[in-house]
Amino acid sequence: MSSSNKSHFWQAASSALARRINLGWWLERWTVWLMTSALAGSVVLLLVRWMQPGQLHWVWIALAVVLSLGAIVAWLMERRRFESPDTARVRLEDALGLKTRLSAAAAGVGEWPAEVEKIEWPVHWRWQRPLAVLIFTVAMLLLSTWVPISEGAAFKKRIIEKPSAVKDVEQWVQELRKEEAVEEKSTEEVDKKIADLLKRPTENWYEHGSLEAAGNLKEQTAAELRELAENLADGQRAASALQAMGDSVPQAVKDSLAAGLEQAASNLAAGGMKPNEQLLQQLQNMKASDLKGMSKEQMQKLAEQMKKNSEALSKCLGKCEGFDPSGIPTAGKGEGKEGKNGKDGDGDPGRGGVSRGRGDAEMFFKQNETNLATKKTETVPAELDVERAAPADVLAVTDGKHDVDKNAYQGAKQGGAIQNAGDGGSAVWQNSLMPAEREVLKRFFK
Amino acid sequence: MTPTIHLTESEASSAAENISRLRVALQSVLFGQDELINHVITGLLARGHLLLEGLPGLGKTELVKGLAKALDLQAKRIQFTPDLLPGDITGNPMLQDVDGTRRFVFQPGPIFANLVLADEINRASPKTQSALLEAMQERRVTVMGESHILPAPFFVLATQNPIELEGTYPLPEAQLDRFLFKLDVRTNDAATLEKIVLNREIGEEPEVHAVMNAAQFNSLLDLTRRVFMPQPVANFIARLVKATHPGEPHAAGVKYGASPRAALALAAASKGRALMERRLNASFEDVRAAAPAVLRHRLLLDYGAKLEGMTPDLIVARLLENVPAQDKPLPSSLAAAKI
Repeated sequence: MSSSNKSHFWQAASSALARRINLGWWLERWTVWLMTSALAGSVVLLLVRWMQPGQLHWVWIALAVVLSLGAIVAWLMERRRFESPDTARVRLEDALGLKTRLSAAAAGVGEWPAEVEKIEWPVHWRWQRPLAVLIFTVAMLLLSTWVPISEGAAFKKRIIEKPSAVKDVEQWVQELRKEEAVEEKSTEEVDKKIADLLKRPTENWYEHGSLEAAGNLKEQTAAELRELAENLADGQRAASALQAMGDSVPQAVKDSLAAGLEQAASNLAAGGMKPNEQLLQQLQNMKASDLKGMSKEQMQKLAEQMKKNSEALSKCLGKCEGFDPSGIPTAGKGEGKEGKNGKDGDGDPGRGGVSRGRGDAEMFFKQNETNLATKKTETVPAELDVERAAPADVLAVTDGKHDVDKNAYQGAKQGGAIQNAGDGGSAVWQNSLMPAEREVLKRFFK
Repeated sequence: MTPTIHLTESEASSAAENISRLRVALQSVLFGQDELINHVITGLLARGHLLLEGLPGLGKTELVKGLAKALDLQAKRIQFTPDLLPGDITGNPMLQDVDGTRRFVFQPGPIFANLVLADEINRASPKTQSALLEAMQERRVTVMGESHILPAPFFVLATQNPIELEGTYPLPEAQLDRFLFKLDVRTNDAATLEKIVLNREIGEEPEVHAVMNAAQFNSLLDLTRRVFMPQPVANFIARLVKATHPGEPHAAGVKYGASPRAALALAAASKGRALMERRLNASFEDVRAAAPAVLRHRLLLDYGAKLEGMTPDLIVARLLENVPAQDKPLPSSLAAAKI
């Protein structure tokens, strides 16, 4: 083996040892960086998952950049601790028992020692710490990507529901438009009012003023619809009566009915909520003088149109949420069948006729029948004068529980009662004492 | 400092052979004391004076006599007693008739020899002990203003008895520091004693043949100086000596540490050991082997350490264990392997 080969072998060994030691120093610094980055990265991952779940790949890229940067910084910072091959050679020759022959040979004194088949390195790795850091890092990152997390409430798009009154009115308008029960312009007016209300910032929708305005809109719209329904019913009733009347009916009655119909028509045309365009057009063209000259067919047509409008209105009001239909007169009449008892009418009693059945009206004066099975009691509200209450007046519904005054005087009560009344001669304190006390008394009286 | 011409392999081999013959010769005089013999040879190669401490009858004097015979050197023995005067060692000027005139002529004392055995050195007065100082350090004697060069080579091998300390004068630290080694002569085991019984007779000195003469031995000393001292080894010696000083992490209990002379002694002894082992350079192992003998008499312990049973040898062992050949630390992910 030539001297140069030996020299090369030992110098390579020294360099390898130096590299190993320097890697250890670099690892020592970088693992700190790695752990810190992992902790910060985990927090960032969790935050991003909470805020913007779709942006995770940027976090991974940033983490890779930070770790690469950390590797460079660790190398720069640990350079002063790095060992040169000369320094590592001292470790090598001391550990291998080479009696400093490597240093001497490097200085040109003596020969390089013979090569060895396998070098027993004077240092060995302690992987526990770097491995623990690595496992910790991976675990932290995996955990932060795996752990279930809800999307951040703060970053969710906030949907503010419209006030219920506005929603109700919107639904009413939608139903009315669908059934064509009212004039389009009237619904547009309501739409405009709703738009005005919703024009305010969403965070102000639930302020007291806004809620009050929405409530007013709802009440106003409901009142207008109720008025429309009443006028339609009145008009239809008058038109039907005029059309059904024979010549024998006195003129005064006819005039009265005609005046009622005119009044209804006038109210319909002037109301906040007008009937559909067709009926409205007809009413607008109709003058009071025309009513007397109307033929039966024309009157019937008017009555049918009103009825149709009224039915459409009733239908859509029935679907309107939050709308109280009580008090609204329903249009319609009972239709009897020939020969047998006919089916009960839906509204007013039938007009009779030779081919009709019974066509009974419901046997109550309210819109809804009294529910006898309930425990609630129905009373006339205090604000109404009971003496003057009409049969169809709205009754108040109150809880049927007895209103008992618990503080009311219940008569004289006996005070200082004993627990046991006692039979003749028995001791009344017998069951009131503790066993030990009883023993004491027994001993005393023994 | 003139550049040192390093040893060649052939020079080292020749020197090691001569040393080996000297060792064999001494082993024929002193049975079962191989380590002591090695230390003595190392000390001589390092041009150092030796302090031998041991019980009487262990062969200290025989060793010195044998050494003188093997090296064909002039040896003298001085029995130190309390009434011994400095002039009894160094020599005195005597009034003599020289060419018809009377004048003082210096009569050399027993110190004028190649090997001086200072027996029971601690029994002489400090004044007499200090007379040895100049001789040991400067290798010359000055009497009445006149210096007299001692013969080369010159070695003082002093002995002292660790018992019967009544009426003795312990050597001061300054004088102790002049000794390269302090060697403990230990008692023999039974096998060695048996060998002594079978091969020795009382009053009969063992026969030793000279293995080299003074000139050859002097050239051996020159070769020792040419042993290469690698920088890492010199660094190790420096750190080891520095570590003996009070306040250093592993020098608890030390009142006074070793001097720079100790570092020089350690380096010289390491070179001597290297030459004995036919090597061209000193090594960490040489330093570790020589350290106890070099340092044990140079460490002064405080009372606390003495009460705790600490000895200089224990301190040196602790230092050797904790002072690494390479002082650079290792990263925590690496551990030094025991090979």
